[in-house]
Amino acid sequence: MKSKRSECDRFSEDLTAFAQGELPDPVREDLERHLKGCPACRKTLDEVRHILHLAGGLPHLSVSSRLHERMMDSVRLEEEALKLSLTERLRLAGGFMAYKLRRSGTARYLLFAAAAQILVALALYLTLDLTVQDTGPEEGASVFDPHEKEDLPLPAEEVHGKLIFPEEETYASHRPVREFDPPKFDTRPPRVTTPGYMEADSAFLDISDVDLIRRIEMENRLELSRYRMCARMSVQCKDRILRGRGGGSKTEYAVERGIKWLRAHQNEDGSWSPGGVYGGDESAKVGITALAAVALLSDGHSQKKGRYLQTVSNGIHFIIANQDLQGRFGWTEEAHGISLFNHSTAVLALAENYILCGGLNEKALTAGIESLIRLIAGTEEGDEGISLDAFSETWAAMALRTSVMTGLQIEGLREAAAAAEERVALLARRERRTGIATAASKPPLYTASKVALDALFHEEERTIDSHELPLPDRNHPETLFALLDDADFREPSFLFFIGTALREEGGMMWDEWNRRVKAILTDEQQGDGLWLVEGDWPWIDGGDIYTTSLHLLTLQVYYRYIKLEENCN
Amino acid sequence: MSNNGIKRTPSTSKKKTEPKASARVSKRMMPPDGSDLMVRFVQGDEGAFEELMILHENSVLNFFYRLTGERHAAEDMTQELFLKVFNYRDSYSPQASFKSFLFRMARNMWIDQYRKRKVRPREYSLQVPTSRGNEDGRQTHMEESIRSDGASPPEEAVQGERLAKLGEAVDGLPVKLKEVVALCLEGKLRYAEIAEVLGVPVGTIKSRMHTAVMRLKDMMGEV
Repeated sequence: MKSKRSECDRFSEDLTAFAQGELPDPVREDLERHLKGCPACRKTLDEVRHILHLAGGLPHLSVSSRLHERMMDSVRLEEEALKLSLTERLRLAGGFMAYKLRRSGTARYLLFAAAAQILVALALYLTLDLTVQDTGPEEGASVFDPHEKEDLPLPAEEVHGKLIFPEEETYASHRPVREFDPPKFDTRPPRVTTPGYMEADSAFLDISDVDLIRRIEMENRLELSRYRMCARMSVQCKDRILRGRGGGSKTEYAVERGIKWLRAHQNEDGSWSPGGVYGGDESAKVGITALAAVALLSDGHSQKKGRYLQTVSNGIHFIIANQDLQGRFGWTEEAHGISLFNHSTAVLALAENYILCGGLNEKALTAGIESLIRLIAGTEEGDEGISLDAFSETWAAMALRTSVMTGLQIEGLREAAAAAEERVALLARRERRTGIATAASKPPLYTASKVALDALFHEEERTIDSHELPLPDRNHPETLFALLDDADFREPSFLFFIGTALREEGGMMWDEWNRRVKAILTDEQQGDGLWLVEGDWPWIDGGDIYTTSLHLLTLQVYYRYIKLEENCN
Repeated sequence: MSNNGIKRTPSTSKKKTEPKASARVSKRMMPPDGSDLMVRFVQGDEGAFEELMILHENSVLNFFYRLTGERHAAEDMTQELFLKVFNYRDSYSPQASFKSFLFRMARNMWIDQYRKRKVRPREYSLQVPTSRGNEDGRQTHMEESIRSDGASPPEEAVQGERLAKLGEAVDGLPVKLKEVVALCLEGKLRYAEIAEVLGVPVGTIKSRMHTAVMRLKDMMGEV
């Protein structure tokens, strides 16, 4: 009996391998002999087989044709990038060889310089080869169509070397017809005393006055270029920055869930719909899509990298497909406030994607920036200047500053960025002065924009006086925190702008703000990752995509921008 | 002429290259695991990469799905994995099995994800799609597939419950056991290949697999 027990023990771990045909012949034969005389082991073997059989019925997934195409497209995209960088490397190698040889003697220099030239020529040939191949779609090939998700994964520029749009009205290849003409800026001085909200559009700045711009920049230290987007940092670095600035696993978990929810609610055409429980304003679709894309970009997902690259890519495609001949994204003539929001957030998304990808969709982005410059300068064709509100203008200012960070050399960009920021300042001041307090939640929102810009761009001590409402005053932090207790004041962009501002400042005020906001947002996030629209905001039509995207940005505020001097990786 | 580099060749249809799920692995002769395709790809035949992808994409997807429990995450990781294989083609040694190479990368990728953020257990539902399609090509759900096995409605319910319970039990396994189960059942890897992927002796795999099955049995209760 004892020997049988020990034999059972000896074979006990072999039963599963036996059931799966994984035992080598001699052991299998021994076990078979043992099984004949051991009912206990036979019973165990039956149980093992039953479990394995049951496991075979567990749910399985199949790779859909769409996913397969998506994977192939990402590989093709990678391949294109690889070829280009190889060319670049060869060119650099040629130059480096010539440099080394120049230092080591004339005769050898000539010899090796020739070799270097051959390499350069080879590199150029490869480039030329690619250029020739990339001239356009082959005959019969389908053009870029954002509505056919399965066929669109590659950015138009990456596929064919130039933008191809499905409809004639879009920006498309018509662009050369309307070359960028640097705006002739309105020279009227700022009319800061103009009463009333809707007259704000007449508050033009003389941004052709170089001295004035310089003064604004000097006085306010308008230099977002001291910052960089550092979304794609190493895990360790991100973790260090996250924890060092008051974030943590709880906020990151919330971000991950929110992003998954966003992804799950992207439309087939790559857009996200304004809406949610209150219904949405379809005219803001491009802006909402751009906001959602920015939320993903902040987490390091871009058109080239990241687990959600396809989601970002689809969103960007939708945005680009909605660019008009003037280079404006999602522009509707009826609603300039929303149009500016659409256009600004779209430029912001494209610029951030451009920064993270090292240059994608340059034509569409450049046209968008140029258009935004014209809008800010009030020289858009047939346009007397935009009807402004600080909300949309703040996005415009952010978009322009981020555009500066792309390094694209566009005439008038820096001036327009400075002007946009100054206009936000003017508007914020006016809002307070004219007491537009009838809409209770507006002042905090608008003031928030100003506070954010003050802190992020100006870094000067600002005080905000309050007349009727508990406006946040940095000298009296309790006035700021009090706003958090009322859902009507917790407009998502308010949390985002203020959070950005305070995070830059740091200190106890930021600590307390962060503690409260973190608790509110992680508590209010729904099980499937979204944040519902709560409170009576002035612009509620954005719906839950708007809410979720902005709350995500608020929770990414720890690492969204990082100062250049900080060692990221 | 397409300029996208990798061309879709008509010969790489799924029907021709997809291995039969039910095919048993011969002991002496290993099934084609794509090593030859990988060699062709490394040598510059870019069309071979898509064939490789078709050969392994389902097993990779299900491997990630078994481990993460989330379809979207599994799809993204599958995409990222093949991109990685594409980029790290030069690190492939023709002497090694491609399947081991592929799943070693996959496993490392999952471990990275797991370390970053513990994956939430999934909730099993009878609406989870199965790999089996029905006659008109539509994807079947677990519920349907149980029914199509000929079971009567009460049996279906019992079977469905069992599967849901088993799914939860697999989720509840310790990581070391779960990865072996996923590699074996979803990746369809032999013990020797799993040992190669994990860098442990074959005996360890045998032991882990048996421990996992016994734990599943215990967690399932009466089977």
